[in-house]
Amino acid sequence: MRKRLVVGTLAAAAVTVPLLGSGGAQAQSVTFTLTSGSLAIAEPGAATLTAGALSGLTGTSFTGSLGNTTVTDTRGGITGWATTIAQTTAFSDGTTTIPAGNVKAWVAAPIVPTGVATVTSGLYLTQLTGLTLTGIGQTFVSATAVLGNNSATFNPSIAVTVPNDATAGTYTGVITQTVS
Amino acid sequence: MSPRRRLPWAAAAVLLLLPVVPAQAETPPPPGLGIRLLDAPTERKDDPRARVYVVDRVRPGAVLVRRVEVSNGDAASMQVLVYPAAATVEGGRFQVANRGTPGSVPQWTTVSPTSLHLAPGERAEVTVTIRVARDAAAGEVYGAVVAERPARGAQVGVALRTAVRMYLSVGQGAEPASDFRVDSLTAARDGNGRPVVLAKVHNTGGRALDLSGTLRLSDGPGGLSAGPFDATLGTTLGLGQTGPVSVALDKALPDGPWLARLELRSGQLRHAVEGRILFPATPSATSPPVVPKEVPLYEREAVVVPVAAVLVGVVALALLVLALLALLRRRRQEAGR
Repeated sequence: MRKRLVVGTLAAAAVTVPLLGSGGAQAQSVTFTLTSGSLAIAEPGAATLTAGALSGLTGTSFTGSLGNTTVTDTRGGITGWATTIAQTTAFSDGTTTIPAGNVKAWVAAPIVPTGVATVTSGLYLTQLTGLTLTGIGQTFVSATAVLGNNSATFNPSIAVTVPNDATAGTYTGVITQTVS
Repeated sequence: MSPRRRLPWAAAAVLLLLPVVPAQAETPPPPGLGIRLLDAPTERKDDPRARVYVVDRVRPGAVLVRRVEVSNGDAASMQVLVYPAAATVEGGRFQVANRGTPGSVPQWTTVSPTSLHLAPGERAEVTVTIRVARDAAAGEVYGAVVAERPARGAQVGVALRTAVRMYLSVGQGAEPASDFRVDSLTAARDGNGRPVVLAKVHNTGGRALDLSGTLRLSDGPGGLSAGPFDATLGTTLGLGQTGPVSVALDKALPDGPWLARLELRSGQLRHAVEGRILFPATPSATSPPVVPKEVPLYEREAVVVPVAAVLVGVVALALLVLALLALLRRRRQEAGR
């Protein structure tokens, strides 16, 4: 019994009471410091699209890949994670803007995670069944049945369908991948 | 507090005694942009979700302070934006909104600092202050603390974000109870002939759930057993929402009938159900759904520890009584002399 008391006292000493603002904080929330790891996402910033004269491609599509995206979960828990993908800035050459709905994303190769996790892009496996992007993030790759630290690398493919009335030029846009 | 409850507390206390600057600080951060939660409320010490997400019950007008750590695991330095964002829970999915999307969480929350320049391998602490509006309506509010690496790349820019989810339950008094129910179990075969068990899970409580679990099959043809198999699902179920949980099984498994036992959990909440299922013989076919019945959890600890505690108690009590009797007898003998 004495041992337990000592442990309890030390634990109480280790917790921190954050200073709360005066603005009506009724419940003093006592917190402790977590020592688990982080949830990280990496990508080389080397996305490419097939090159070609745009004038000859109207109505057809550009394809390419976003580059190897790696999610590393060192939180050591049982909670899964999921990535979302969004076309946060539509492809534009300054004259023509290609709507986000003309862009599809998928992961062609099976995702082989390290650690214990089931990682999948669901039905988004080919251009035909790919996820049609919008300006808002939609769930793309998810990890379930997680037990402890895990990581997964996948290379999202994208296809951009060029509208018939597109002007010739250099198109730029931004795709955002989020993990939570 | 029962002995069973004390164990995790003691374990948590021991964890707390470990050096606060753990191996974390020495090992390089994981590749890319990382985020982790640094504080969790002590009353949720046993909740695995509260260790990775901000999960809290808050009153209107309350102020909450949490810290997160943002890390750069790349070989180049990184400019990072940190901000609170709104989020939605729909179709079993937790989706973090874009920067600037209005919502309760971005309205109530401030982060400091809001931008970071991280050298390779560098970590930085960010303070998150949540000031719940005094007129906030009761209910669940979702959001996230987001770290963003702005777009890189020439033609196709790729921006990366990593986030700590926030599940805030707003209201006076105690937190609404979490609960869920398994409405049905369905045995099916996918297009490749692989047997699959589909369960329909209904969030019947007052808080969002992050579900995980396992399926075991027993009492099969010739007394066969199989499992455990991991359940996969859209990870998050909002209030009142129903979502599918699917468990893919081995193709070599006989059709059955089987007694299927599905155990699901969200944080500390756990349920187990059983139902008798029979897989269809042909691919892309589904058997009629079965309404499963709730069964007790197999929890060896839950049985063994109280039983052991009771036994120890009985023995201790018996010894005490014997000692008292012996003492009384000796006193009487001494008095008699």
